Amino acid sequence: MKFLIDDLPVIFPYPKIYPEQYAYMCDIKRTLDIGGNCILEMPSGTGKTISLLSLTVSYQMFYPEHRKIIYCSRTMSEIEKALIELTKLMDFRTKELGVKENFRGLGLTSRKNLCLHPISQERKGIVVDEKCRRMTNGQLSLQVAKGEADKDQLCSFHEKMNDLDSHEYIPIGVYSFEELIKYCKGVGICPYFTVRRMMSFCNIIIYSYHYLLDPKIAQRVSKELSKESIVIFDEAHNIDNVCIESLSLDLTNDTLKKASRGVNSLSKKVDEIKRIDSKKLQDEYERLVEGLRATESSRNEELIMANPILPDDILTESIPGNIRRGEHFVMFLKRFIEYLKTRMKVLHVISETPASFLQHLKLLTFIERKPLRFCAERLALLVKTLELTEIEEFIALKDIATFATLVSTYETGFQLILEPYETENASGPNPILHFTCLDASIAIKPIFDRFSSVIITSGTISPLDMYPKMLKFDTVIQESYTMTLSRRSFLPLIVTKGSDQVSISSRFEIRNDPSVVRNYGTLLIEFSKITPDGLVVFFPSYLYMESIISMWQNMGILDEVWKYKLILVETPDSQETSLGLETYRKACSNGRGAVLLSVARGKVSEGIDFDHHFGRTVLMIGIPFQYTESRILKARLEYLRDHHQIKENEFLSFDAMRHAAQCLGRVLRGKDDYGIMVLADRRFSRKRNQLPKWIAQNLLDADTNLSTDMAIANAKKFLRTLAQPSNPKDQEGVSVWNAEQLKDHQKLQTKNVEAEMELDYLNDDELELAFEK
Amino acid sequence: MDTEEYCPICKTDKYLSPDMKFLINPECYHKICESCVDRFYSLGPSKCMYPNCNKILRRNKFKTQVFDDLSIEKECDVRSRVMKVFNKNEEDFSDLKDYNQYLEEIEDIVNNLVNNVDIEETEKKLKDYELLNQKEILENNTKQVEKDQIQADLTKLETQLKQEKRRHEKQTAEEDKLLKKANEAALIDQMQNESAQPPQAVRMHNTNVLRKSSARKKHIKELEEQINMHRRALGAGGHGIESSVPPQTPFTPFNGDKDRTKYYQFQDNYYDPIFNDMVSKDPTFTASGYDIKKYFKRSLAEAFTGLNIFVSEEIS
Ligand code: SF4
Ligand SMILES: [Zn+2]
Ligand SMILES: [Zn+2]
Repeated sequence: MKFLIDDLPVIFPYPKIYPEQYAYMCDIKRTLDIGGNCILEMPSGTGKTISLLSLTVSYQMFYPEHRKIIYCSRTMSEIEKALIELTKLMDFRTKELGVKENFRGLGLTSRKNLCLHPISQERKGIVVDEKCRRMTNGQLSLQVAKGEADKDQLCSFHEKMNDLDSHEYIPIGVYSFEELIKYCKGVGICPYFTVRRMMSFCNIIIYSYHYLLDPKIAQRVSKELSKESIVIFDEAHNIDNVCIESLSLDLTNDTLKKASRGVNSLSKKVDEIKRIDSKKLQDEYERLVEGLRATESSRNEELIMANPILPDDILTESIPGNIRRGEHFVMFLKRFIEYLKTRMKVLHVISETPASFLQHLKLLTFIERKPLRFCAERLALLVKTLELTEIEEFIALKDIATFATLVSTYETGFQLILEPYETENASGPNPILHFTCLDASIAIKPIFDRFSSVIITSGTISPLDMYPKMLKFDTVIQESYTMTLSRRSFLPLIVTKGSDQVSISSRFEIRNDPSVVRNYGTLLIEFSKITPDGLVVFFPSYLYMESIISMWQNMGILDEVWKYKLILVETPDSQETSLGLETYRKACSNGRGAVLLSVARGKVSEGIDFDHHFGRTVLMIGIPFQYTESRILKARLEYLRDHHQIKENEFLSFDAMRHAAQCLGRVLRGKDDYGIMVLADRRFSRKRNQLPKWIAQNLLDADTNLSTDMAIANAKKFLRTLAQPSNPKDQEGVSVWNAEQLKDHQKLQTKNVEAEMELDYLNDDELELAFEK
Repeated sequence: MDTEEYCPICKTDKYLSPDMKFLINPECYHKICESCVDRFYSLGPSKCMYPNCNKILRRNKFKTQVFDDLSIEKECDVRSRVMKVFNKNEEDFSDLKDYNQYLEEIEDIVNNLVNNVDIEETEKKLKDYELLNQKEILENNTKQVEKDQIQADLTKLETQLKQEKRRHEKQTAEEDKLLKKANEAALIDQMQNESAQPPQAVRMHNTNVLRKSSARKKHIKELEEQINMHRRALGAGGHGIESSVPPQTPFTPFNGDKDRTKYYQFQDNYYDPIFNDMVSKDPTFTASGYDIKKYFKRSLAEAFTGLNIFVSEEIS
């Protein structure tokens, strides 16, 4: 259908639209008009992605600025989904407009997923990256041209691209990953680099957060995007964690050992080159003396390491004198690594600021802050000068240089935490040095500075005002939409006590109390009796899940559940879990029904949808609080308290509730879907207002303090009503609009606005009268 | 496992006596255990116990090894010696290039000393430099000591501030709770005996709480002030810490009395039919030091100051 929002004609690929979709689009348009950022919470299963896409694409095509769209999502499957939606949208637009628009949309994912070369069989993504870099680097192709190296060492798919002009790699249109790979295979070019180099010719790019947030990657990939671009972060409820991860780093003894080895071979190389071809090093040295930064490399080539810090923080002066010469730099690295090794020997936990770390470092090794800041850049240069191609050796060394640069660049908002033991009762030390970022706003700041409109959206992103506080930005619109429903299609319940009136909770002190565990067990039995097909259960942590399952086993609860449903358990191993999921799906589809026991922060809770019969009930056992004894979390909490005025409890509860909401949202993936959401913990009744608006709105007051038997009774009733066939006609005009109804709504709205304006007008008159008096 | 976990002199094994410590001497970096050091060197300097090592060692030079890698240990010792002499800072140089050159020089010296290249020459260089720059070196040393002191104070103050703030928050929260309780109790009382005023006790309590919390706030303010002062002191020395505090200037109402913007251009002559004549003709005006220009200036100033009008701009 086609409709207008203000002056903007929007083409929407479905004949009907939900009211909240319309409201959502209006708000996005307004944000884009004004310029600024917004946070929008759109209930899951209401076609968020398609609304986003259809509005932004219409916006782009209609206005002469043609603002580029950068759409960031979290996982590969979500990106793929968005691409498919986009294809549908563009097909529809072509049909509607009668012409194929000059529109190109591509998605980007890692080399591992896109590579055509046999190396993509490698298990690890980094290895594929490194191998690819080796096969595509400019020096090698120069050598090949001179006949010094074998042509087989180069990647043919990459070489083929040189024959083509960069804007004709791929014709206009939208390509899902599969189509992209298929097309590229046909032409014989590399899909990964096709996307990378086509980026500036794309109308829309869909990729994962990291390509924009992680400075190491963003520098390479997203440098050329223009300021006017529309940036969308979808599924953004965890965006603060992504920001933090992109600036954090862990070091282990193993890393240090490998780095030592790396630096030794680096030193050997330096000596060797000095003997054979001393001119090379001398050239580099002279350039550095002059303060030139030899970073202008050809566009086809990629330095082995990018600077890990944000572009604003990179010093622009020349490289300090004490690391200018290759051999001096090698000495410098050796000293730094040795120092880190001595730090790792300490057998108690240390938490210190970067400033105190640097101070101590200087005391022992005379390493100053400034050369450290240049470490990453200098290493990249040296590797380039030495023309090293066996880069695997240096991966660990790269980490060390990254760490050096980070620790010396950032002073506040970061913390070094050394944990000598992995777990509390580990037998031997296995130290890890965490360099953690505590402030999510640091990594995302350049995004807000650079782009004029950033849209942050998700199905569950409550409470909305937490995000501007944590990420330090201003919004022009913050909105949480409710779900319009013609009938109550999901039933949130808060169960606070068992049938025996003993209150249930996953609170640490009582979580292993037999009566609590038994009550949770009964809850599970009862729900597995009444739930048709799939039932998903979420626990706060693996540890808790394991202990409960073993207790249930002893109590005979699992045997009871077994009578009604198959029982499957999520494990940290992703392959096992995916096998389990497959079985679960099969059991749900063939009528046996199944229970999936999973963890609220695990893979299942984040990316897997349990639509329709795959999930009719979701059962949250306990509140999924983070493990508060973690030192990193403690440091972060302290920082939030001191710098963002967010109290510890406030943040912990927010974080727990957003994960809970995520889990709940898993079962409802559309308006024709239905499901029961059970929150089983006494403490939930006080946290009701922290649930997303669309869930809270459907939670009746009477349902916030139930015992197991009452909850079962309510659920039975609910299921019985929903088992009645529904008439799709009921929905029309209420929870779904066709073009006519939309127009009516718009008319009504303008009328209201006019009425309001009239009111204003009246007021003005009155004011004048008052003056005359 | 490490192979050298026993003392080569007395053959004590680390595995059997886990408390034993190894010491080294920067003369030759040969490792021996603490008790051996006590045994052999407590009576004065003596030869190294290692066969074929003829270095004379003194007891007070023995130290524990910091780094596993002896070459690094050695390098750092050399460095500490060199840095004592070459102790200039970046702000002692007017040009960054010179500073970088200086840094490189240091590296070269260290490198030579560590790798035994041109030892004599390098040593001489070091000596010469020391003689030449004796005064500067001393000065820089004292400067560095001062700076370190300030830095240490700063760290201390900062932790103190943090604790203070934390305490303040906690107490405030507690007091709020108490207050709420008291108020509730008062409300119940009130409802019972219908007296319109909140009882004396509650009001007293309120003011008490207020007084206490403001005292704490003041304390925190003071700490913050101190920290800022330290930061500034460090900042003046050009140390690496970038202070977020803007440079402090005395407060002035118009953002600086030194506002020297000219709102008008003063000309030599102005036409004023009454005054011009009067002043030029009657010497009694000028005798006392009156200058008609002052009058014009004042009038112009009165006309334009405060309006932020620039005549020339207005005309164009
Ligand atoms: S250039 Fe492309 S196809 Fe070749 S190795 Fe790299 S990613 Fe694979
Ligand atoms: Zn001994
Ligand atoms: Zn010796």
